[in-house]
Amino acid sequence: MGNPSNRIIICEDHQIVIDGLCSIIEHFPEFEVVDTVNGFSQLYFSLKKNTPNILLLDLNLPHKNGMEVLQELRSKNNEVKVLILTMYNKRTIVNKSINEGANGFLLKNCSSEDLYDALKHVSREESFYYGKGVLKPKKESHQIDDEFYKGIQLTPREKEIIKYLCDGNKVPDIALSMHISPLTVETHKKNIYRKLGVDSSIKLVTFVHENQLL
Amino acid sequence: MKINCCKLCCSLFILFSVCSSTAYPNDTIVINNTSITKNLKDFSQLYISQKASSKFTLETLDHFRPINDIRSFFYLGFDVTQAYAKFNLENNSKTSKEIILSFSYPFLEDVKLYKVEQNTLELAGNIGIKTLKQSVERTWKVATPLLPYEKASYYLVFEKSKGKPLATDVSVQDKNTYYRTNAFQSIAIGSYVGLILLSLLFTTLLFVFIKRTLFLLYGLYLTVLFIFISSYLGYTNVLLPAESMDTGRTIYVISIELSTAIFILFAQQLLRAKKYLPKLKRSIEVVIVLQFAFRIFLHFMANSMYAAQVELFMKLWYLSIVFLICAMVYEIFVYIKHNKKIGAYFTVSYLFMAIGSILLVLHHSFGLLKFSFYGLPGIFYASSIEILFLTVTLTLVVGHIYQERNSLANKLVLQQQKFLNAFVQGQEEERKRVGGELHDNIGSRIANLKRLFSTKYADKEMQKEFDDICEDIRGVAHQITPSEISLVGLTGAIDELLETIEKTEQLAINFNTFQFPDNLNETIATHLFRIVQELLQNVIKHANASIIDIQLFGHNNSVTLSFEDDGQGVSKKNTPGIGLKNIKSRVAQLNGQFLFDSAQGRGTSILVIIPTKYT
Repeated sequence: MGNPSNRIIICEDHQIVIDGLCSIIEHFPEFEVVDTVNGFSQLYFSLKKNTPNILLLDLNLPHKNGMEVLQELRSKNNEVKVLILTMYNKRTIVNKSINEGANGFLLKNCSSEDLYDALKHVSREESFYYGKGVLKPKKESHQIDDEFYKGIQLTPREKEIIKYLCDGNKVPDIALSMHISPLTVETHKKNIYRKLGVDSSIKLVTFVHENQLL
Repeated sequence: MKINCCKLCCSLFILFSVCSSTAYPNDTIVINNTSITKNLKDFSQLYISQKASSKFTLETLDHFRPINDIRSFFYLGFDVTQAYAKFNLENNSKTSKEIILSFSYPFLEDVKLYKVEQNTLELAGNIGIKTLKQSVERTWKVATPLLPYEKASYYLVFEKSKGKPLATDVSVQDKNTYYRTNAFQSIAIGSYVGLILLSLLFTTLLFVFIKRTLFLLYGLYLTVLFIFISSYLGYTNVLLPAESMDTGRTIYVISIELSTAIFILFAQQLLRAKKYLPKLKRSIEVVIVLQFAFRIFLHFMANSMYAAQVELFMKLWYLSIVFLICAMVYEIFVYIKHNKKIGAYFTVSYLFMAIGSILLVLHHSFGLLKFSFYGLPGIFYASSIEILFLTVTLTLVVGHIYQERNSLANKLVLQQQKFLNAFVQGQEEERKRVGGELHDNIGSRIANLKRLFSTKYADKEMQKEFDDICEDIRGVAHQITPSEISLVGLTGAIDELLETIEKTEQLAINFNTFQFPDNLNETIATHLFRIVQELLQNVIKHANASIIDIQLFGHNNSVTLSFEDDGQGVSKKNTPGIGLKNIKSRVAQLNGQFLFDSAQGRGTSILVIIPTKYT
């Protein structure tokens, strides 16, 4: 079976999945499973001992989930290639994995060809490997990227309250005129201050006029 | 013995009684220009007879014998049938006067006033149940005119049946003084009626709202007491037609008996005798019924049938009264240990009631005591004070009941809240367990199975079937548990949720976060996720909205979820559904606040504030 040049550690909490993976990877000549672990505590020692090239990482692990494990590894400058293997096919999760420094994303119901391709890709190339059927992150729309634009998107209720605030009304009066509780007005006001990054009614009025929010 | 007792009591009540222990020095009442009020007893000797009454003339005077009686009022014992008192009136002024003799006892049988004119008796006035032909005023009175400087002798003659003692004040007043006294009495009686009516209204309302027999009994007691006092004060004389005036006495007897009985039943309830002294309560009730029957029997049958035994019967009756008083005192002592305040007020009112009744009995049955003030009997004052205190007591009782009810209601609400919290918590745990099991265990194993098969058989159809099963399991798992919260945080989870909703619903959902903490406590995150899920479900089902704004704010000590839609809104009267209750329970579990602001056609704005410190 040639000379296996790529050492793999599998981190997964279901033994049957580990067994299945091992039996498949056995048939891939360049790859060898050097150790299998069930959680982070074992993984930590195993990584030190075996210095693998590739880590097959499940996201759903007891105590410390895969995402946290990944964060921990990267924060300790561990350069092992991480291939996420999970049931979750969610854009946000894929996105987060990329951000946290994973190298590939595979679904647990992938075929053995897909697994082979993924292992090959991860061991050779830097780009991210998307397994078959994995949802690729959308190009974030420029609207949401623009923090400032997001910051001044006001809801109808907030606009109503800002109008009252800019007219110099106090919270109890606003509550009376809007037929809502003072606490509701107070909370909206607090939210608006946070959103617009102001901390006084004068700053609020200035901000509203400068940006022509009303 | 009786006289000693009288002296003692007289000195005790010297302030109220016009009692005088000195013998009358003369039998002439001198009327000057000043207004006068004299007690006739101080000026006259009483002569009694036990023979069957005949027509009273100067010739029959020897049928009577004088009695040495130092009472301040006229008292005719059980056996006396006829009595007279002789006195003189002397007008010392140059104007003619009208002199009024008024009697405190309103059930006189027959009283005649004779004036001596040239050695013959002239009937000057005649009152009484037996002989009266027209209605009279509240008090029995006889008026006689006196010319300037006139001096005249009078005989006041009482007639009564055997077996009924008679005790009455006779006061001699000039007309002006009589009417002045009368005015005072009217004011006092008016105030008394006002007090009774107010208390009656009060207790009726209480009965309507609280529905406890205690208040009904008090109302009944007040009514009967009112009837008793008014008949005792002589109002039956005014109200009843002249020919049936004798019923006044019947009403008087029945109402006094009934009021005693009802008072004791009322006191049993108030003092919670059923709880503290159940045996004593039962025996008291038996005695009450017996006593009531016995007294009625005494008054309306025994008087004619067993006239000789009346005194014995009366003694039996007094014995039962003494028993009741002792039992009541014992009950009060037991009760006061449990509730000092109510017990104390009740004791005061009971004290007045008991003293008033005892004085009444001593006065009318034995002629022992007289206790009156401004011509109104002691029982009248005693009963006003009693009612005042009883009404205050009832107010305290109501306060007590409300306190109990409130604490009970609070307990109930707390318990319900606990149940709901436990329910939501259990639901969440169970969802988590089932979801986790489906997703991690069963899902993983089927995925693995598929992989194992795919290495051996390259069957497209089978692979597709496997993929579908995996997809289904994932779908179900995600519906019941947002397990990705721990992986991607609340923001990510909500993003995912919105993505799936936007696929199927025609909704524009804006979701933004503002300094919302990434490392939010997972419990809070899960609850907030569920709240958003629930709110979205509500909007989709009911609101008919097109735009939803969901915002998460991170503040110094709290996080806030703001949820707005432009739907049709909810009017105030709509009761919150199970979804909203569920949300409130979650918010309560996190010690947060749920602010709901919605009006018809104005959309809905919901704020959820969750404190992040100290949780």
